[in-house]
Amino acid sequence: MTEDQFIRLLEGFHHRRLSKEELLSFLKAAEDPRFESLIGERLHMELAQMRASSIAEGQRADKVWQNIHTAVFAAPKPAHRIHFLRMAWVRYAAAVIILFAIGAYFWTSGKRQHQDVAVSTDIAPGHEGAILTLADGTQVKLDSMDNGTVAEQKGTKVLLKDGSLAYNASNASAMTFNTMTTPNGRQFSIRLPDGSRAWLNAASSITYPTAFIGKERPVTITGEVYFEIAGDPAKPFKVKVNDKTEIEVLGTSFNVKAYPGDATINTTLLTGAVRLYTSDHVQPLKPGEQTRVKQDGEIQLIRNADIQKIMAWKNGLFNFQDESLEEVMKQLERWYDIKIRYIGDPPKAKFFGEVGRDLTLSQVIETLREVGIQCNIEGHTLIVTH
Amino acid sequence: MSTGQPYNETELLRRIADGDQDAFSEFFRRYFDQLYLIMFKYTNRNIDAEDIVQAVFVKAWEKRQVFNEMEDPMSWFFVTARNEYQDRFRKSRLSRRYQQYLQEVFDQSDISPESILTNKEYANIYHQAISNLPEKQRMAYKLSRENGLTYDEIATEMKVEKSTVKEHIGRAIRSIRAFFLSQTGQTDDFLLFLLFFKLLSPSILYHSSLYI
Repeated sequence: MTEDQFIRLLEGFHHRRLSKEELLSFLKAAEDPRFESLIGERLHMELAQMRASSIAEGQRADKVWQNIHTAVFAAPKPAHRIHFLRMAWVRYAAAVIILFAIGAYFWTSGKRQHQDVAVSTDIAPGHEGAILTLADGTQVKLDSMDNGTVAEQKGTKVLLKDGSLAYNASNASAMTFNTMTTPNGRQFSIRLPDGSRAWLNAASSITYPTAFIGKERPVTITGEVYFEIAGDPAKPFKVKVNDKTEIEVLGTSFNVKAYPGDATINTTLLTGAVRLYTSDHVQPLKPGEQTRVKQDGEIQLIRNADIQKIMAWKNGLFNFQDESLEEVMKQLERWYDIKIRYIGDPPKAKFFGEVGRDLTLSQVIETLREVGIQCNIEGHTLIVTH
Repeated sequence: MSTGQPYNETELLRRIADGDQDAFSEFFRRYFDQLYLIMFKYTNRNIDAEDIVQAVFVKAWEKRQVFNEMEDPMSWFFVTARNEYQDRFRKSRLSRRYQQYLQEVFDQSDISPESILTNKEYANIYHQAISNLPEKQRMAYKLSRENGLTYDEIATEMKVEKSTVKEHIGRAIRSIRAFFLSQTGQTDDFLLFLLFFKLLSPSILYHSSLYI
């Protein structure tokens, strides 16, 4: 596509005058860094031509102002929560858009006699936070700290900035390893010394050198981590999942899910290229593909992975597409830091739909009840009755 | 509120740098409309535009101290706005919901964004046109255009067929257009069909309590 052709599409996009095919080819072409910066330049030009106007006083302005005000003035530790979760926040605020239970099991209305036990102590959703373990074993809790230098080790500075951790290794003299761990109910992101970024879902960890000296960039993870790797062909980035599974990366974005207890280790590639190594296999991945590695090392390749579902956690959502009740509950366990107890067999149901991760537990429970699942909170245990 | 005095943004930003919350509020009010409109034009979805604007102002407050050291703090603001846009658009672009939403909106398009109108009177007429709609049409229309839901999602929300949603929205668009034409005395050619974007911006109602 030439630049002129792209500009025509962009203008059609502004005016909502594109056919379906044109629209899709516009969105596709916008991935091209050349065209992306073209959009950026045009946008910048329009921004620079903005003039202060009369005072905006519409309801939309009021609503957005209210959000900003809450983010910067109301909260004792400002803004960064909104940051990570804002995609979901605004529109899913306090509401579950769609959540259904369907399939193998039907609840009759007669069975829906959930006792209206008042939930006296609601459980808040998880938020940003993590524990950083330094090379000497010192632990730093990153939940409530202000921006600034968190630690300095052998010439490498660790900085906390807007709810994300960053390393400045310009004076690094030696390689030491740090570990960042998110407990249940916390998520966090980190910018590694090479500029690569990693987002940790709840109950996850990443161990990495504070400076990438040497021929490789090795890290080890547990749980679920999404990576955006800075390209460096001379220094492959390697993600070790366990003794048998390793992912070699050239410059790319991908998600790894490897919680203890999961039946498979799932690696999903969004852009670029990675190679997955097991004890006796090598599996290259193309964008949109997912590998599932079973305990016995068998690799299954999924060609059209559901990226939206896989990346939902990073976008502030739970996506329960095609999940069983038990799978749904596992996610709630990690995010709300609760335990699940079943009375009777877990009901067999398939879910679909998305739920904001900013809901409190009682809001989630209300939704579950609406689709006929009987559950109650007792302390930090969610009891599901069948 | 407006003093009629010429305003110096750099001075305003310096006050913000000193932690002046009133200055920050004023800065927001002066730039919201235009910033929102531009972001709408580049995303074609209200919720993206709102989130981007929100993020830009939150960043501006967080970074306020550096304004004092800058020759031209407004240019920092523009760069931040552009970065926020690119971040958001990169994510939205990959989302199937967004693609679906755009297809639906482009297919039943009511507006031509280039004819940006700044007239508050038009905004009021639009506002009125919406409140005149039958409840179901209004709900479907707003869930789509305000909340960015796809037809499938609206169908689920309203417990109706997807085709019914499409019908509601088509009717809503026609009624709004007709009302608009009758109130302004314009011909269809002129309006064809004006940009709601600008109309939406200053004063559209947002009954979050009704629809969330």
